[in-house]
Amino acid sequence: MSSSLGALLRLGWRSFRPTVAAYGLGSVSYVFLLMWLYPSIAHAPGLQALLRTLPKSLVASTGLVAGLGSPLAYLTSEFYGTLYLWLLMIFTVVGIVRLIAQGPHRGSAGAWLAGPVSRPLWVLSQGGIFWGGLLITCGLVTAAEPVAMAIWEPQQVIPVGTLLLLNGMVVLVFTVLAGAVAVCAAAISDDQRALAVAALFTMIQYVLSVVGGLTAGLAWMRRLSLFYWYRPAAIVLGAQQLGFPSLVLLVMAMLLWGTAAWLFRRRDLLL
Amino acid sequence: MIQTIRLGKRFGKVPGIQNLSFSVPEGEVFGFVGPNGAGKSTTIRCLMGFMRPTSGQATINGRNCWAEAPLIHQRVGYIPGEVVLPENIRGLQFLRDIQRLRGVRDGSRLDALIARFGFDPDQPIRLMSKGTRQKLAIVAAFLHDPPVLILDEPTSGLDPLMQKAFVELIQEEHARGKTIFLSSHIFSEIERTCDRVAMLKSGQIVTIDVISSLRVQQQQLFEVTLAKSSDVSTLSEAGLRIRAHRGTVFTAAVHGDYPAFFKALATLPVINLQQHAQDLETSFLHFYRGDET
Repeated sequence: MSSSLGALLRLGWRSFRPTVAAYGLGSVSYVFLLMWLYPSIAHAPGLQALLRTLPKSLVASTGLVAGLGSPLAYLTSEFYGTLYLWLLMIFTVVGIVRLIAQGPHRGSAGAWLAGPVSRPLWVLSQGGIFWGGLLITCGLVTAAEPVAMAIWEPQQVIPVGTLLLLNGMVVLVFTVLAGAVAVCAAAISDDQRALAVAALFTMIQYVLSVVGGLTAGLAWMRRLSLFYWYRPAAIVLGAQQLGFPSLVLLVMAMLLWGTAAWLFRRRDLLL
Repeated sequence: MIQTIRLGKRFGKVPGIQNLSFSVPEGEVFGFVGPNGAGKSTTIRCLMGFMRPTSGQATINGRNCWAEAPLIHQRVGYIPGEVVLPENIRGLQFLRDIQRLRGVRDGSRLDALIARFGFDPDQPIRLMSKGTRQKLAIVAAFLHDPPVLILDEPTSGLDPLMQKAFVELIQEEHARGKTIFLSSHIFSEIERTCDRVAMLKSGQIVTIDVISSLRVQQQQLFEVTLAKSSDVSTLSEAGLRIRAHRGTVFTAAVHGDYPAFFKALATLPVINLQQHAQDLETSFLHFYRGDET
């Protein structure tokens, strides 16, 4: 069992490693780019005035609630609420479909699934590989921010605790999203169809979150979205209790990954 | 060792295989032949636990192939009908990973198999030819020395020399008491390796027999040369099939009813008679076409 799991992890990681490297370095590059731009934005009174004139709904939906007063608040609006989400949504959908759906559909996973490996173990090992990649990406981002701040805003205190909380929540949210994508990948035998369905699901989640944030009347839509549980601006402002959301996300992740393993166990494989 | 009882698999309203019942005892090489779409790969996928039967069951060593697939896989080597391997690694890495997956610590069998098939596995799989990938799949299936082998068209893409090497490997494994389930379109391979063969057509077994018995059953072709062009309709009337007729030479297919054949010949001015032995392939084609037996 342990040698089987080790071999599965080793092979999966070998194929997933370039994807992790690309997304990890891409995310770090964005952090550096944004922090390089920050001094000119932070010291532009016109821009601050413009932000104050924007409708509250627009500010809320674009994640600008935390303002631009500190590097972290700025990163929250420009990175954690938008760019980072987009990067990780693509990383999750493409990565999980590749890990779980592509091999069985195209046949390259045949050698592993013909081995002494249960299908649930195979699905969960692929999940483990993705999770390792997600941890590395978020870890690189967490490490890059203090470095970037030290370069361009050396007078600022680096809020390491808040950074860890932000990235911890990102890991939890995307573990759940990965579980939902894994359900699609496990249930749909054609990897291209699985990719399309998973991408559509993820888009709907994001749109519900954005539209639900526009006005109080549409807040119910936000509650339908997975991203309801992830509020980077509130984390930076210290306004969000993380215990309950973390518990909810953990339970969701376990249920979704369990469902993915169960579905994959029941389906026919053309190997 | 391998057994199916009324095994069936439907794909929606389309029946893939129906009521397949056969049994392969330990140590036997069992051939499985049939035209494309007959259901050979579906049967093999049911045996490997990749497909859930819609009726009946398949077992290997007494274990249910669907419910206990991982346990069965410990003792089975498998070559799929269409070999697809991970593209982004080297062949040797792939084989080492399979070794780890199978818990094989001794690398001597791996080295011996690579030497037998004479290829360099230490190159990226994406650069390998179809034949080399097939060799890689063969080595991967045999490297843990499994007691049961399920092979779906294993020599597809191999050159004649390597096909010969593969047949020799099967014969050696047979001699070592392995149970082998071999699906193939190459009849000479079946003839040289199998104890028994099952013929599958439209998802159903047409016949299962030992190879030697099939040889007895098969049609014989007789080339008859007459002294002059004559009316050979008496042969047709006697129930014999005229396969070819060219001038004074005609070829008749005879299956079993030799007295009728010779009685009909007695009425004709025969100056030469030659018998042609049919190979197994011709015999199988005869079954596939639904000719009378």
